Amino acid sequence: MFAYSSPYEGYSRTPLRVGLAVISAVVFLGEAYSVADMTRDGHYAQVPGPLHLLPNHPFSAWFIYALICAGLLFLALDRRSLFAGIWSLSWMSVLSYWQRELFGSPSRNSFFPGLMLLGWVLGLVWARIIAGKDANRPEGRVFREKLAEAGAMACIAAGYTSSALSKLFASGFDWISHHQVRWLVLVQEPLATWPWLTAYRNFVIDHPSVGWFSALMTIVVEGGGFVLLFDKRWRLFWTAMIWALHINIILLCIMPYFEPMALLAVFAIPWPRIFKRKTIEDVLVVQRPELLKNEIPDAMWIILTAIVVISWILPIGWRAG
Amino acid sequence: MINLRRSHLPLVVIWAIFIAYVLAARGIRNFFPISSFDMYQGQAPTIASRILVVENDGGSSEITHYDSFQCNPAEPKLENVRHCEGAAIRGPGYVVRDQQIYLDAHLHSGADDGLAAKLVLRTYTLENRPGPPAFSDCLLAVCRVRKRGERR
Repeated sequence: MFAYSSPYEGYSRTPLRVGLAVISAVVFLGEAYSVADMTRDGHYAQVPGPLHLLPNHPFSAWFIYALICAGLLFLALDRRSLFAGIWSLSWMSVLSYWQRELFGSPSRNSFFPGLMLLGWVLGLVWARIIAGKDANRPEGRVFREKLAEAGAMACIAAGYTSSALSKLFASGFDWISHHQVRWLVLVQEPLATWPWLTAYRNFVIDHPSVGWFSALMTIVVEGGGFVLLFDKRWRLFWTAMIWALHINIILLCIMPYFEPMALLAVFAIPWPRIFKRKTIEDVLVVQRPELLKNEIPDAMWIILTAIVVISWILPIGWRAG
Repeated sequence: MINLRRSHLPLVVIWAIFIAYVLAARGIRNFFPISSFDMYQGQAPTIASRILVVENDGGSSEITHYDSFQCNPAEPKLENVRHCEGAAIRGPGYVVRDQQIYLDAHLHSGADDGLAAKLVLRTYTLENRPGPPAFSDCLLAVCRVRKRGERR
């Protein structure tokens, strides 16, 4: 149960790499469109453009989007993947920061492909550190993408667990109350277009015990995000739980989170077995089995520690109320 | 010699990165691409409010169920609820802003033959008992409205 396994073990991880790049491109198409739209709308804050260098103009949003896509294209083609991933993440970050200034709060939807891309890049860095230049060669692809997949899954699992921890740190177990979810439904959109949907929302609003159970399950499913890191069956099962959570949130509150749903569908469903893909061998590990030592390299300790320390000392993060 | 099938390297990778992400997210909260996904982390109040359209028969609907408004005052400001005694906007700010954007885009002078309706701030009080929550309405504007898809 606690041993790691992946539905892509023994198969090419090209669908993961391409899927991550394509989903990121689609999500940031929406992000760029939204930012471009807000620059022309007086309902939103009028702020300096990205990096305070480019103008607060739709053109700047589409220019940054083009830079993001260039990186994602290289990533999808597995050409200089590490650099391409860092390049895309950097420009995504610029667009995200600008969106936050215009809208007043960050769009968390776009963070999902971002955090999986971050994990993918960290996995590539890890592979590069322990295998050297061999990791970048064609025969190192299986090895480096095995670690990249692990990194991406680690980050999305951590995102869900962090969400539950935020609620518990901010409100304690009082967050699991009869009115938490009912309040959200009422302020977001209590009256739907379809009568059956209004009836469902009323069912939750009118029954405090249902509202309490919904809050409880939110904490359980989000907090249990780490279950995605157990073996491939648990990854699939917890993906279904997360899908159920998001579908319920869409029905109750019109808050679509299709991004993690799509990403988890790519990473958790055993597509290679379903489509009977041919198996492949990890050539690099066969040649150099010492690569599989179960330890964290010193350089990786330094990188991960630096990320944590910088996150705690730099006052650049946006905080929810 | 390491057994290829028994290696736990990916296990080391996932837990090291998982722990680093959780710790980093607790520090920075939200800076792309790291987020603690702390939306709605605070305990919700027991009072909720929502701006709705109430037709003359008492039926209520979301603003987005209509695509034409002619109101008095001509350009209602949905955030201006100071005249509502004891009432306030109780919900995320972007919700009212989105409603204002929709309303502003659908204010037309040609809806004078539409349905009579009122724009109200509805305030609900949530109690720990079964049944619909009690609510009170505060008038924001008197309007003529036309439902989406309805012929002119």
